[in-house]
Amino acid sequence: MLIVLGLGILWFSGVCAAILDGRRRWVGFASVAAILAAIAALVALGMNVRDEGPQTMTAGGWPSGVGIGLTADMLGVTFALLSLGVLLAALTFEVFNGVRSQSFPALVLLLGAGLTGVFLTADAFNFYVFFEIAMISSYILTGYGDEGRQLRSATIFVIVNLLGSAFFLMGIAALYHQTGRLDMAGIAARVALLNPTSVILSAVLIFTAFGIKLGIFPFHFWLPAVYTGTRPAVAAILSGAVANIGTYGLLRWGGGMLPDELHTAAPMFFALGVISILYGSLQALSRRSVAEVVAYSSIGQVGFILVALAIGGPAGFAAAVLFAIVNAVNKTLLFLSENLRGWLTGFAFAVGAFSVAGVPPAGGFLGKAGLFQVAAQDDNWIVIALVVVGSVLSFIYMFQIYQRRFWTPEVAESANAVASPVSVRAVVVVLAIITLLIGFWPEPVLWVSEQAGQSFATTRP
Amino acid sequence: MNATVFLLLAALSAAPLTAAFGAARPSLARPVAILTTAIAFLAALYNAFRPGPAIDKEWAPAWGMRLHLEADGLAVLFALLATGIGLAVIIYSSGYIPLHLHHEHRPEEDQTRFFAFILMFMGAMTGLVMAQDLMLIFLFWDLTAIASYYLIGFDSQKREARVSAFMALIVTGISAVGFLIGALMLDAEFGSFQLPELIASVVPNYESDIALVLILIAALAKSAQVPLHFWLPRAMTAPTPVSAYLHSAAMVAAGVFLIGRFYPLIVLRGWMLDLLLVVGVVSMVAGGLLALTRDNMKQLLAYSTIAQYGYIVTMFGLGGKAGVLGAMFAIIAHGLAKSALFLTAGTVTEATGARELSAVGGLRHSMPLLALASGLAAASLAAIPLTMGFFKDEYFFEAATHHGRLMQVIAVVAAAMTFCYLARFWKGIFGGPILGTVSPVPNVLLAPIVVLGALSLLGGFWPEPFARVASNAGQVSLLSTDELHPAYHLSRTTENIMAALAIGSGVLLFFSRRVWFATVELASDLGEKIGPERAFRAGVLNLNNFSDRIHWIEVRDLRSRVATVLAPAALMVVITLIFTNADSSFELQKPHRDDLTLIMMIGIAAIAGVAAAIPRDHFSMALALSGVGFALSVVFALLRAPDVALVAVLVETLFGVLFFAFLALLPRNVEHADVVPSDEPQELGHHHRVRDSVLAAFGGLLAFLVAWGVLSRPAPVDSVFERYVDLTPAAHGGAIVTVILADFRGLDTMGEITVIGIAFLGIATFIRRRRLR
Amino acid sequence: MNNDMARQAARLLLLPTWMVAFAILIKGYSDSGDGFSGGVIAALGVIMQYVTFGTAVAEKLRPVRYARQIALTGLLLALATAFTPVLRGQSIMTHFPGPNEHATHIGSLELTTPFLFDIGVFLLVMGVCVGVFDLLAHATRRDRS
Repeated sequence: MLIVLGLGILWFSGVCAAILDGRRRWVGFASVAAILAAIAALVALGMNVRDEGPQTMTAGGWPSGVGIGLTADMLGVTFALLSLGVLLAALTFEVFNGVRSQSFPALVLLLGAGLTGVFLTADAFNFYVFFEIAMISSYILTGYGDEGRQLRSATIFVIVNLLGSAFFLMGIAALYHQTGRLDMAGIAARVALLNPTSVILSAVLIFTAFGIKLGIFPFHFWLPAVYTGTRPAVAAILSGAVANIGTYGLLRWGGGMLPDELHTAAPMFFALGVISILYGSLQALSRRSVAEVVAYSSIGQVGFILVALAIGGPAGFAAAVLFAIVNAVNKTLLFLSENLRGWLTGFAFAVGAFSVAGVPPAGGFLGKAGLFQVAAQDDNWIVIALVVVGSVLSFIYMFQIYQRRFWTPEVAESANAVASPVSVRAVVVVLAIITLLIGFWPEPVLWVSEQAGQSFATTRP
Repeated sequence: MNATVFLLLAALSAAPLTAAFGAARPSLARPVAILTTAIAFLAALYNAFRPGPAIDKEWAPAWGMRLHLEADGLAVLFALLATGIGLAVIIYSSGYIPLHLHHEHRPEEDQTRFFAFILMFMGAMTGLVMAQDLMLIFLFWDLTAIASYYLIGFDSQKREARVSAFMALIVTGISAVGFLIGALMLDAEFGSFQLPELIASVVPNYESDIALVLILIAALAKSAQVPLHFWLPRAMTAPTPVSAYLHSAAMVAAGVFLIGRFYPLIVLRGWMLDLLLVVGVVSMVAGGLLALTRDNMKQLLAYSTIAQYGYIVTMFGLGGKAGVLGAMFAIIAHGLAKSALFLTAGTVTEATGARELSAVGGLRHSMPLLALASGLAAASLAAIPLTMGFFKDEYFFEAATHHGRLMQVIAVVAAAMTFCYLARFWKGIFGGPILGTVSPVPNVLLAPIVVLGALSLLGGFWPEPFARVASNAGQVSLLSTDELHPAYHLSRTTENIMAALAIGSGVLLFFSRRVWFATVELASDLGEKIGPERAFRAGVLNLNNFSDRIHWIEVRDLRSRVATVLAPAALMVVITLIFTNADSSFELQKPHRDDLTLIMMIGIAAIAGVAAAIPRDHFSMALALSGVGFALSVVFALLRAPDVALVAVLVETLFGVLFFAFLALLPRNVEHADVVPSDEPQELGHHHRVRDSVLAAFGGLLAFLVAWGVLSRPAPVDSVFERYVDLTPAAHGGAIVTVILADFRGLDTMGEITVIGIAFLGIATFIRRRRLR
Repeated sequence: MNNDMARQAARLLLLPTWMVAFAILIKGYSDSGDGFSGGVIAALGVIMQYVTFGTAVAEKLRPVRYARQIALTGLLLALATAFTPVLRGQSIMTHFPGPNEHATHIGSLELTTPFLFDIGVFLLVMGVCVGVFDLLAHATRRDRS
């Protein structure tokens, strides 16, 4: 029952919030409470997973393979908790800031339901359904705000991602045609029997779809326009929560279902990851606005995730999860603190900047350390050199923009004209403190990503 | 609580306490800062006599990281330096910073920030020197860099300060990445982050060599050794107490500390010592040369710092008892003397407003005590007998002597330069005719200098306690029980001769400066201009320009084009087809006569599809699209899927109606506008249209190939669909499709109707927004 | 075909359309059709009223006025059907009566929870389609005026 509790809470509360006016404060707070409740349920679920191993449920009580299966393993629970955490931060931030649209809280809750479903389902098509719930919510969220700018960015986002969804659907249909199964375990078992080259095309379609989600080069062109066009809370949601679908999808589908294909495609992943790192970081360098820098930085950062995936194996997957976790926290913190004014906002942003640059005690250094570790274990000098170059560039772009935004008297003074509400600033300060805590006490994050990385150690040949 | 824990807690809590009290009441920041530093200093002193037991606790077992700290000899030396000189500097700052803020027209509250960061540095440094776990070292290491960044950028309203802070952060921060990699490589190779375990287990190999070189790079950058030295002179834009503390006595010392910490691993490879030797000598000579001619007081001292740490690095490179233990002794002597000199520069600037040697003079008359104290400090650094510094040169000469004649010459030359620039410094300020007016300074700007100067003198008469601290530290590096017993030998030992030579040629150099000054100055200026700093600046600038250029390309040509997703995706399929030798048999079954209608309907759908893609007005595009839909519904019906066909027809009908209703909402001019934006020239529009058509056709073709390729594969015999068919009666149903939708895959249906609901929410939101406008 | 005839037809057709829709919903479990198709047909019936009589008249219809509520009720009904078994310790989406268990019949209609679920789908689809069309109609009318 625990496995669907969080999902149920979010789904019901999302639907109920849909007819309420989300601009009312109590609706906002109730939504925040709903996310908190879902997080509590997922934490409880995570404890069960830790103690008893993966939890499963098959819908309708049918035999597995017939009914839709749900499976909670460390990987899924981790990503669900991470994404809900980001949603919680962004929603709380926006509720304190004043919600501007009736549907905002409902959409965030439904997005949460979609994401939770995506991370817990064990069925290929059901994955797509939850994926669609998450995507349609984010399409609408992207248009959240009062300006034409936001609608424009929403349009780009929708068109590109619909294309991605189409690729994904084609891939699933192809896999179904070839395996006759829709449950992930079934597909994995049958794919293992097939000649790898016969499913590689389906795999490429699916990987491409997740690449678009992640915003890796060359599927990233929509990303900066969208992240800068939309409101900070939505940008945080897109980069901190929705982008997780990409990482998780590549792990689950690549690592869990199509390991041989992932292995075959690894050089391509590696190349794309490398280009993303360089391209994103180089683009980020001279951007003048904080949002733009952070947006391009995301492209670079997911490049690291891709490189970790290309290395593969439990260690590579663990590094990918670890990087995804710290990256989500960083991006949420940076996007939310981007426009804030007043005391301690500089501190919050600086923590984010140090985190992206990989300077402890901000937690971001763990992501890079994880990659170094994997690379050091098999003396992969290219990866080490790459991460170093990426670090150098991230140092430069983060601190150029930090100094421009918070140290330059003209900018800082105009920025400090009206201080943001204390409660809003408190949200980012709490996020900053979490980032520091991750650095000072990395054990939980390290442990969780290690466990998550081992989720399908057995399915790998 | 034992002594180790107490020292750690005292040092680490100083900054938070100061920040908290300062936030509550700004006037409390100063006393709390002094008090906490004093406690930390006492704790360090206590540890010098009775070191507490090591702390070793679990930290992050997942990676084998431990909270492993120990107040060993090396830690005690640097902790004493950090807290002791820290105490002097913070007392000095309590007088200096309010004046500084006053000059800069800044609110007094800002001093809380200053004290918080400077104490954060003290805490981080204390933690760093005690840490035995590599990751813990890395954490504290970067904490010191963060503190340094904010202290250099303390006057962030000045461009100069921002540039300097940025440069210092980039150089030390990036080189710290080298440390991280080195640490992780050692762990990967030898399975531990714990230094004592590593020292016991490391057998030098290729990996450990690279790891240690990376760690050395981090250390040398921190100690501002050539060619990563250029950030240090720039860092002098920080308030003077920061320069005195971080950028001469303590933080820069972290680099040589690290060399000391890893020394047992470094000595395993002779060439690594040679590397240290080369870097040290180059820094010593280059720093010395530049210090000879700088006019700005703090710049002179900064280059002198580079040179002095060059001394120390060289001594580590020379190795042995005299080298390593002597290096430790030199660190103490240098820390005391150099901080006193920096503080002197601060006091002088406070009193006269001048920052250049050429703008002051004759202060011995108005500030005799300061002249004496800083004279002692300068004498110590210049290794005049009866000061502490004399012994550091003694050990230096001794180590050099073991290494041959060339090294002896270099050592003497370096010492002579030291003497010369310090003489210039002291005489420039206190000697000569009186220049400018002197305003009185508070005693708090004098007392710390006097104490530090007195200590430098004390060390000349009674070096034993300092030597003991240095010996204990050196023993950790050498893993030996050697001890230093400095004493004056009034005989013709090689060291004494070299010292005499050094001072003699220093004096000669000083008095002959008319001869060489212009040449050296020119060379130095040139060195500053075309040195690594220039490479750094040019690098950052070029990167930014390059970034601008590619950004422009992206915005102009690539953004918000569907082709940018379609084309790469198609390309990936092509690459896959080519490189993975994907099993790409494309089968074409012989059409059956009964399929004729089916093929016709598919043909109609295809034609309608193409028609929809030809850009005309929206209305005909919508019509063509619904043509595709209806044709496909017929296909479903012909394939004996009545449920699907029914849904398809209904959905098409509904979509048609909704689509046209939406079209009615479009403004007139949009409805009939050309698809190509009007702001583009005609030919370019045509060009784009051709390009887009080609790309679209390419993408479509590959999608077709993928579908064909997949469908050419045999379907498995036991599809899950068979199970659905078998189980449908049990599920109380007759129509398989409905049972699948409501039961077997009901969760999917649940999801999809939620999608519909959310879409409704979205449409309502967007249309309502329109209404508001 | 003149306008009057169209109006007459539309008025006359509304109830039969709904009946068809309802029939498709009910017989869905044993024959072609389901809640989704039923919902679309019912909505098309309402939309027909818009097309022929205009927004002002069509808006008076109950399904139009309560479109949002209808959609929401449908969604909640479906959700409740899906999640209620969870509260009883069963899997999500477990239907009652279970496989091969006895179910009460009304004619050919078996009273089972999938049917309830289908009603939810029906209500949601109808509510959404009508609701969207109403929003569009409103927006268009405002634009014209």
